[in-house]
Amino acid sequence: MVYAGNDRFYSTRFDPQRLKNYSWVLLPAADRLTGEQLDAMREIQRSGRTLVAFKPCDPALAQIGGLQSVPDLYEMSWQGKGRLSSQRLTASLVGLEPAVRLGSEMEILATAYFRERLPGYILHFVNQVYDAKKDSVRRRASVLVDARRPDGFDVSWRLHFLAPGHAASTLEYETVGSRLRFRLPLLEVYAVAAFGRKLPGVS
Amino acid sequence: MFQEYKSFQEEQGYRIMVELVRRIRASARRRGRSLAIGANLAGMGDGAVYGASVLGLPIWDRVFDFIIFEEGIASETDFGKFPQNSFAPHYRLGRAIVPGLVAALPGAGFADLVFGRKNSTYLAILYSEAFAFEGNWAIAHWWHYGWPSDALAPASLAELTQFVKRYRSLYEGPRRAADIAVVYASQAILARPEKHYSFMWLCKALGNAQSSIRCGVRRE
Repeated sequence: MVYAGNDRFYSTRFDPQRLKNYSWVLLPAADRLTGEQLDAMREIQRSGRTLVAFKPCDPALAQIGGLQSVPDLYEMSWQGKGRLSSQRLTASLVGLEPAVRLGSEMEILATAYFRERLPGYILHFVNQVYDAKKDSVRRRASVLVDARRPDGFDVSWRLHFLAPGHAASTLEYETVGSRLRFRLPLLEVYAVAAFGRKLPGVS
Repeated sequence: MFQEYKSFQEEQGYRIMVELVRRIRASARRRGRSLAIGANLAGMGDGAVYGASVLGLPIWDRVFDFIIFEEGIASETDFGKFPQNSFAPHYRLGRAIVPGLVAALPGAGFADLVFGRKNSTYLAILYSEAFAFEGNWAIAHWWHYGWPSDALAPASLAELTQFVKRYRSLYEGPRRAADIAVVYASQAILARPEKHYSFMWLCKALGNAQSSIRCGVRRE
């Protein structure tokens, strides 16, 4: 994520160089861009990367070929059309391969991170199916996880399942194309799945 | 004229804060002390939406080492509903502003809401979310209400803390760069402050399964 400043309290902080590291650039506020920002967006388009902006777009931005403009998720949600907006956004991001998918589970937060200094791939899972009256979550079992195969992966990597209050264990997984599939045996509130050949403190 | 007055006060306030931080740092340097300075930027983004101040926008990266976002996320009607109550966008935005710690702090209304009710699992979810995004989660303890010191830190959180300490190597160190940039264009948001929420919703959508949009990498 990058952000661009204004000129009132400091010089414009927008740095086009920072955008060069990203293959996808998403613009939730796209209606008043500076000349420098517009130039950077044109460069993104020229270099074959993907540019997705919420409407309304700056008129100059709208003229950039290949720009994908989609309804504003927030505004559409206020109008009761959040699902439609979400579908449009999903369609515009179809070229993105999700780092992790969770079968039919729709209320589990999952994040996936590679570490620079750690030869592994860490997945975090948070159960958000919360019942406020009982102050409890609905425990999940056998959750199907479909994760992107990490760089440097080979079959010697082990998959460790870690959860508070439970002993660490290893899980079986299968490789399917560019994906790794396995089942989380149990998810109460929080759990971690860690792939790696040798993970400090784990393996 | 009112706008001019407001702008003047905002700018003066900003300059005073910058000067104060500069003097604190200089004082620490003279004494050979290391120092990290952060602040609760209450209502960052929200503040602009409600016309409070441009100071609520992310202009603090040169001033502070770490930041705290305070948001009034919970009301009786949306208590415990996810992803509405998720702090994910705050952690993402914070990571783009400062290199250090980013903490999310539920506002005073939240503290009132959870006090006296069974909430340890709810707090554990928010706590876990912070781990999942490598943020830090803070809760307010309003001492003047005379609440017991453990009212907002139930013993059940200790198990989570012990877990993270035990596997700290999985949480520490830099992450590999993401493939997606979400641009928070301050000048566009200053012109139409409600666009801050467009950013927030997009970040929630990218990080939460409910929307079916997930952060990913470009398909090869």
